[in-house]
Amino acid sequence: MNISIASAFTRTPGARYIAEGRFSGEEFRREVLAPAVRRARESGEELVVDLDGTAGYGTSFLKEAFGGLVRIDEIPAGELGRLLVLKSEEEPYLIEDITSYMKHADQAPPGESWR
Amino acid sequence: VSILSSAAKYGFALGVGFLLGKTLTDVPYFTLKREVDLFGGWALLLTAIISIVLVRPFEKAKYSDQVRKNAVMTRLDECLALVRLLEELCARQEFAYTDAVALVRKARLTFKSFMGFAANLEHPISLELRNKAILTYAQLHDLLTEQAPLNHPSPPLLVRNLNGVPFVTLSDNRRVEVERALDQAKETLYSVQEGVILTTR
Repeated sequence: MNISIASAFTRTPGARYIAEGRFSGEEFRREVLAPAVRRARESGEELVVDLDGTAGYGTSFLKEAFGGLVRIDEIPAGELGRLLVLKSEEEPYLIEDITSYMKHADQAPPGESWR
Repeated sequence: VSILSSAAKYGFALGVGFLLGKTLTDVPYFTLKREVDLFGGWALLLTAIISIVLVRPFEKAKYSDQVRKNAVMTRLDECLALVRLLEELCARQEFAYTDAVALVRKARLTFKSFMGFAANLEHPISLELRNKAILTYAQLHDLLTEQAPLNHPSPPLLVRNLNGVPFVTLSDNRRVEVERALDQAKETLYSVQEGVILTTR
């Protein structure tokens, strides 16, 4: 299974929460990412997420979208590591960032260790 | 100036060739009439060889170095211009979240492209400076786009929904951190610039 954020969601990802404006990380997780992850879990397929083609991602968008899968949708980070294949030729450093957000999402509850 | 400089060099080479020609053929004196013969021919031949073998490659290498230096400096100027644009954006009281995201991304990718370009042209940029710049760009990205959770008592980066568009206001402390990171980005780019100037003839 494949998702391109630019074509399935938007070319201009926004901030963190739906209340903060259009195309937020929360909206992306709820509307696109979490349902796709559920389908991939059911079918046992990998889910390829293509990050290219957008104007860029804010840290909060990525934390809410991908970290939220662990924190809110309660999918274990280890399982997501096997299920999700992140793809970016334009900004390869995003892959490492997102992996870290998922890994640490269940270790640091929001608000407690925030600088 | 370039033609005159080349003419002077070729003239010098002509003189050296002529003297060598005379030394090799051991002629004690000469007249113009006598030189326009076999020995004069030797001198002219040596002059041509010296000009082609020694002078031209040096000129070509010097020209090529200058072209490379200019190209690297132009790319570096683009990186600096993007950092200045970020400075202008952050100086505003409020700015669109997506503008900050797009500008930081562009600055990061332009620097990445610059590093690749400089490496292709064999312009040594120190690993220390490279890593420093990459970390500073990543830090700027987080400082400008990482929000605190909703329950944070005094969020350093406040996002306001204005007709569906997220707008950012920085707290005073966050603004200081952003300014410090921008200064560091500029300093690093200036150090890279200095390195390019010092290592190029």
